Amino acid sequence: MRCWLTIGVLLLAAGASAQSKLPVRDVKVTWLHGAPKVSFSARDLVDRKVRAKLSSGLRKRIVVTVEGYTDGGNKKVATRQFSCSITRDLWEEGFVVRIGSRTETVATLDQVLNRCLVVHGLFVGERDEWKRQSDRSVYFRVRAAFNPISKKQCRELIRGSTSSDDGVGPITINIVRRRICKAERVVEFRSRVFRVPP
Amino acid sequence: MRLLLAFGLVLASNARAQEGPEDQQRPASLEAPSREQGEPEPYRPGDVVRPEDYDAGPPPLEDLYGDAADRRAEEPISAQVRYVLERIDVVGNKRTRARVIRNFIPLEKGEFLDPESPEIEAIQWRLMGTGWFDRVDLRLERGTKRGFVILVVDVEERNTIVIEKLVAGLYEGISESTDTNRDLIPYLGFTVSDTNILGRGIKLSGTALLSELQLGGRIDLWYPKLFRETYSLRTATFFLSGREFYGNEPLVSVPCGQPICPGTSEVTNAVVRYRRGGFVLGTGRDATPNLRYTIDWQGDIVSVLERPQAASEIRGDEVAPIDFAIDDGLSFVSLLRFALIYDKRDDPGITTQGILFRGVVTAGTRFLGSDYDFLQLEAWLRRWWLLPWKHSIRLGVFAGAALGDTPFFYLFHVSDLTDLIPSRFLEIQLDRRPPPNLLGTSIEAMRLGELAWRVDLGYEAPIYRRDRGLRMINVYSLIGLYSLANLRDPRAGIPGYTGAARFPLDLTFDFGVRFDTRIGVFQIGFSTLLGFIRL
Repeated sequence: MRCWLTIGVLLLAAGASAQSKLPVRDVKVTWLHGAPKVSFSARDLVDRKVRAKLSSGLRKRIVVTVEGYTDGGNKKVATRQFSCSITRDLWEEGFVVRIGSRTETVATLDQVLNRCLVVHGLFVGERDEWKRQSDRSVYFRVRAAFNPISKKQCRELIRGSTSSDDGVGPITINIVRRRICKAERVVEFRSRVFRVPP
Repeated sequence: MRLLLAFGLVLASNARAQEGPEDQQRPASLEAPSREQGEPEPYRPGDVVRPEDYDAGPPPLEDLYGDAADRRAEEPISAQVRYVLERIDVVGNKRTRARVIRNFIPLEKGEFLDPESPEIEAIQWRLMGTGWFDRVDLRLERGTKRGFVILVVDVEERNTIVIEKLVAGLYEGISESTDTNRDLIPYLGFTVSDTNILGRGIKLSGTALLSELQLGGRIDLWYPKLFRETYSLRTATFFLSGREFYGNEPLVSVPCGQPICPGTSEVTNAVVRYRRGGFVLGTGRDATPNLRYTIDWQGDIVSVLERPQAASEIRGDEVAPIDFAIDDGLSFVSLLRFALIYDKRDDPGITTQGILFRGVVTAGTRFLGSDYDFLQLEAWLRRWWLLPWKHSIRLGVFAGAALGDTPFFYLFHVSDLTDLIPSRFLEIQLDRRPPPNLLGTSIEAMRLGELAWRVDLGYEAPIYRRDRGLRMINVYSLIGLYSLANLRDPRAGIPGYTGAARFPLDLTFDFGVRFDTRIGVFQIGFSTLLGFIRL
């Protein structure tokens, strides 16, 4: 029993340590109507390969997720996610950018990246979620993913790639091709610690 | 002059206000937009304020990215921009034929192409899902005429030979009826597949069971899109050399030439040694992403190499003959099998929610040249629920019936119903032991049966979770109740047992650890090991 408890504590500690291993970056936070608005840049999501893919003429997606956590306890307080859909127009030489239901056309890829990855004043959660955290220390975790696969598509793909039989012996290995469910590129970082205004 | 300057400033500020989204020309600095400083100011001079708005409460938290109440990203709507597809070019393929790759693209030359369609994006995932490629990139290039485009599919092939399944353990076996040694014998079973034979998208799998007493091999060939790009072709051939164990300390009469001749003696089990070879031909179709069906014909040739002349055992308070459920010498089984599978699990490796149903009807008949007329029906259903604290529970239900003259390998085996002894692999029975009989019922007399059911409840809890490498460690436990009976057994249960013990019921359980890694799910279960302890 003591052994299992020790293993449990070690695994929890490993989880907390994984959070704290994320690089700390400059994230600006202002509070408005009792909720935090965050501003940051995740432009380094885009490398040479991603640039080429964004110019492919087919729709590509960037999904940015920001989560607020309590410091120390690593308890998630609030989540916000937005998706940026980018399509290069081959014949008109421009990019169509959609964020939610809003659509705009920009001329260059740099403008696309400023629009999607230089985030200004993004509300993370609602006031009710932050009410209980008053005067507590929190931090924000940011994840920007290029072309993530939807959960539904992923389910259908890996379902076809594996046998569903149960094991027949004490040791069983069932191969599941999880790699196909990865986003093509991901950048993750966290903010420094902020205090929630009383 | 001052008046002109002031007029110019007013014009400039109006022009900025009309630009709409305030950031089209926004510098890439991290300064918040200027409107924030003025907030809260829901109304501007000149706005009409309706009376019902006075009590509307605080305004919704909206920003450049939508509403803060939307936690998940919305799927963008599709555009009205269309191109005409001039042609499809496949590049980077060395082994896989371009025609096979084009089969995954639901577009023809001359059709309209929507570059924002999720269906186009899905092509990439479908091709990745084949397991043939390390990388798949799709891009459009300008065609020869304005509005025309070329779809370029750029692939990088990978090794397509994979180990699909690996099982290992120990079983208790005896080599023949007169064998008095009960040895613990290791076994290894595996399936290795090449998912892209000859670059034609054909999957070839080899399955083997290796152990001292039981051996088996099977080769499966699967062509996923043969007829009309929707029907698959499946074919398989197998050869098994195995032993089937009957009875608990039965009396057997062995042929002359054996150590005891002539006469009968009490042995550990009556053993039938046999060889079985067969061929399968079938097709299947994915009716929807969640529902598929298969239809197969299977022919088996069974050769019984050695068996007792007769055997009987004590069941309750009567001596019952043992039915080996197989013809002497050479016999032939010819059957049709229809299977319907509904799979809506979130993950086939470590499932936390969803449903899986499998229904199978197997019919062997003399009209198809079979020596055995039988009908076997099987259905199992599993349902998973994710609990608010991220643990999951699973309810499983299985029921099956075999009617008619069913050969032993299509009867229900107690080893497939209990987790405490190894299940069959390649339809070869591994372990000679009877079920543990935790409830002290007449289940101890059952090894094979025509009627079977099982209900189980499982609980699984993650104790470690990460995004890469070793993704998750889960502990799992399962408890179930099962029954195995014969149609000829009296409805009131097996005579000689009293009370509820007349009914062949027993408990089963399993517990262990599952490791979800980048390459697959490793499961270490402790129940079959515990089964070696007399409980």
